[in-house]
Amino acid sequence: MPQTYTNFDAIEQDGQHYIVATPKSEHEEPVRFSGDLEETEGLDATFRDVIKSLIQQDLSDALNLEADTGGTISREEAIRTLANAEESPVTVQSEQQAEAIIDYFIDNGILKEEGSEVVVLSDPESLADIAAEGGDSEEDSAMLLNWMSAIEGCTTKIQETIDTVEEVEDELREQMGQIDVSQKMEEYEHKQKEVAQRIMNLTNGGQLDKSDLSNSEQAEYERLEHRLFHLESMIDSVSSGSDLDQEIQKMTNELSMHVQNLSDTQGSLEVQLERLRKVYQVNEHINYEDAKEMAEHLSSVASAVAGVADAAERKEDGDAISLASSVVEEMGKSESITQDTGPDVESAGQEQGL
Amino acid sequence: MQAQSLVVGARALDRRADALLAKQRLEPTSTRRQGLAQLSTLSTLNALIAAGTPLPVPGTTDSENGLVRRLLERLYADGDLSLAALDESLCNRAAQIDRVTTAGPILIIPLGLEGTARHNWRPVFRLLIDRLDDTEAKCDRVVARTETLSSASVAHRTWQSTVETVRETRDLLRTQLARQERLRRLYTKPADEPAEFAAWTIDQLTDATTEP
Repeated sequence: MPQTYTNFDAIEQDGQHYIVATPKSEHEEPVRFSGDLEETEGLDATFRDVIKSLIQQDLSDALNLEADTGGTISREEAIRTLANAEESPVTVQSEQQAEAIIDYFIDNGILKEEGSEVVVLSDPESLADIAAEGGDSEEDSAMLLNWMSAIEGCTTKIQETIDTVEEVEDELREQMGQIDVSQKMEEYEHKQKEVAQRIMNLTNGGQLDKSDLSNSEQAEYERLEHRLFHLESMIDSVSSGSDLDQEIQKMTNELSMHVQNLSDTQGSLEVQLERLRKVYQVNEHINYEDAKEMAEHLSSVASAVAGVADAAERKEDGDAISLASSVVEEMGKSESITQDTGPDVESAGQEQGL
Repeated sequence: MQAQSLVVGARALDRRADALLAKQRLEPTSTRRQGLAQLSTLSTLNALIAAGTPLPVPGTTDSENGLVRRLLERLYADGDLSLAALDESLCNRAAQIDRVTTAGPILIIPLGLEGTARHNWRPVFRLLIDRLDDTEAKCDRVVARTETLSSASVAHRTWQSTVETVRETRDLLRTQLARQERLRRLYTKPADEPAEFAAWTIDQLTDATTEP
């Protein structure tokens, strides 16, 4: 599906900045959208928030993830998502506006067009190329930012999920906390024993019939009888649910595990994000040679993080001394950026320690 | 089962306590008899609760709970849900939901394990918990007044037992509600998509930078 809007002009109207998108076809009307989106580079630019929310909302089903091609969303879906977003970084009032924004992003290499699909996340191979070759195209650099946006969007989503689960857990714990089932059980059994004992006392060890008792004793007998059966049914109810309570406990534990897994995943994502951020900054500020080294360095960090650091392979190389010296040498060469890599190395170490 | 059976039982408990509290002077024999009547009503109420539990797990929190709650409050106040006694807008709204049915001149709130009737347990239990709370306080006041009666230890004890039984019944209702709520929450699992996306992302990025 070809772009609808092909020409974009930044204008100022009533002290507000806008971008006017002009359609290719003469039958369509031009549409304007927030000038906050004019800037299409840099970590803090508003367009990133739009991409973030696009990915975050389409994470559920619209975002098409393929191993070798990256992540794509159908053009229609992307337009609909932008137009219907509940909270949007910029005002989007119509599908025309949303479409103009998508086309503007395509025009600026933030998104790529591929048939009726819009590529939001490029094949990650190209990320490696950016790092290795210094990223000669702005397009690659934009895709790098998208990846970072995607990870941030996903981290936010995971945090929301964790919060919801924890909230539910707290609520339930509070609710159940008021009722300690096993304690109740003991209490009921204890009370029932007392009541039974009183009945025995009243009937002289069961030798007297209710009709042998005085009026007031009969009333007492009835009272005790009610209590005896009531406590019996309470014990039944509580104990019949104890299997259920155990099952619930099991499921609750599974839910906690799920939260734990999500937290771990979130941690790994943040490490990846940090890596990409460095690659991006290197790409921006440091020359290609340094960038290449940086990328190599980051690769080893990444493999350590992902637990794929292959000890056997290192052993095959055999020569610990040459490895050590090359590491030292590398450190010397990249001294200018060692400071930057500090936190990364640290976080990798932490991950390994887990 | 119908909500009426449970609600009217709870109502009887409250009215009996009210009647005694309205008296200038408590008479030991009738106080004792009323106390036993309370225990008998509670025994019926508990049998009904036992028959209905464990509660079925409703799909989602239902937005109609508010309307059902209002109807239940009327039921508790009046003893029945006669269409003639309800105001028109309430009748009309009740007519639009599946959870309430009509039988001649009265509305019925069915309780069941299947269909929409399974959603009605929760508001009924909640109403019972709230109302039994008030009733317990009233019964407690009766207990305090029986203390001053001479030769009335049995009357005193029957009302003490009433308070205890009301409290236990309320605990039971709360336990059953909590169990139901836990199951409902646990069945509504959080979405897996973010985690799947995360796994994919990590996979992609790690491969891309570690493979030569």
